[in-house]
Amino acid sequence: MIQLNEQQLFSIEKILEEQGLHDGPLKEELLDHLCCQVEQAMEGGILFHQALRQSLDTFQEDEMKELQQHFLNNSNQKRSIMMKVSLFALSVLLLVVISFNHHETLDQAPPPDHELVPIISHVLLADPPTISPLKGDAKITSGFGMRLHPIHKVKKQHKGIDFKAAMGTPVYATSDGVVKKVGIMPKGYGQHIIIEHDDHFKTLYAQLSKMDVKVGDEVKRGDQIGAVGSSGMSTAPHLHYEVIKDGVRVDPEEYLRP
Amino acid sequence: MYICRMKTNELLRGTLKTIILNLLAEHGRMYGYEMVQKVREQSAGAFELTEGALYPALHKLEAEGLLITEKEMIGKRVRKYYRLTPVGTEARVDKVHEFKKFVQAMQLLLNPKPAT
Repeated sequence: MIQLNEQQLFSIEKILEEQGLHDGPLKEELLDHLCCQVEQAMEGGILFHQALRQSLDTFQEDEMKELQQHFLNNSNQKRSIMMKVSLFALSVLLLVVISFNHHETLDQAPPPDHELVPIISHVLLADPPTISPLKGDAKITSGFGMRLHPIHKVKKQHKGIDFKAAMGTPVYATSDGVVKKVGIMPKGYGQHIIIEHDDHFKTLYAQLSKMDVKVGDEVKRGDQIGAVGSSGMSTAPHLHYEVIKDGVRVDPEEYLRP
Repeated sequence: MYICRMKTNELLRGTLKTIILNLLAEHGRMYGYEMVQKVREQSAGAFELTEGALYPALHKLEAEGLLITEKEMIGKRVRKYYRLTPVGTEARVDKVHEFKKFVQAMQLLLNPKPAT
């Protein structure tokens, strides 16, 4: 029976780390799972690197993303509930204060208390992307939704939109937020950045040739975060852009203008 | 790549708990990768459990008190084994029974007898 050595174990740990799966409740099991897969492939007589590549082919692409989504959704749900509870408490407080005032100033016009709450929730919660990630009128070469995959030649859901642009064209953050992920997936997104804007919205910028931010950086709408490239599963320089609302990919074309 | 195989799709996902509970009833103590292999083997390659479905399901069953876990070191890495709790053993009987009923009802639905 083949068992991976420390060095090999370390390189697999590193891959999980790059995918942002190095912490969380599934960490140990994913590592063991991937190791088992590689060991089994090596039993068939191939070298570690080949075995690893083979295992990642089936593991990386959709599985990693699915699991990551699972983590993100879980933590988002918790945060979203907390946010809702505190918002509710705030609105109750406001209504109480306003109704007290209302009693004292009965002769004056009633304050528009019913309008206050939605305004506050809008300011606190909503920060959707409102600009295009590229300046000028960059051409969208592939829209959101079902399409024939340009490399795999099968019908597949396109989770974002593609802008045709020259290598090195600056890419801008489409709303204020915090950088959640700066990753590399040679068989998928290539070099990519995920920015979390608020409780609901995240945006993803993929196939970059250059990344100017790191995890935890705060960015403002319009800040340059990287440059167009072709670093993943891609045939020519382009920007792949996704908008994720409450964990679900939505059509980014709806969010290119305020 | 997976032309003949059924990766964890909607149907498989709905029966995943039943599959896990049944596997553990048969084999006692198992870890995740072992389950994937056993399911592949026993279904003659038709079912391919994916990590993205399996591990969250295992964690859920553990949280519900149907499974308990124990960890073991395999060289420098940790392996997590699952086994049924008494509640899990009971739940397995119910689940398997429920699923058999479901299959019978589906057969009736899909192959209706001509009216006499």
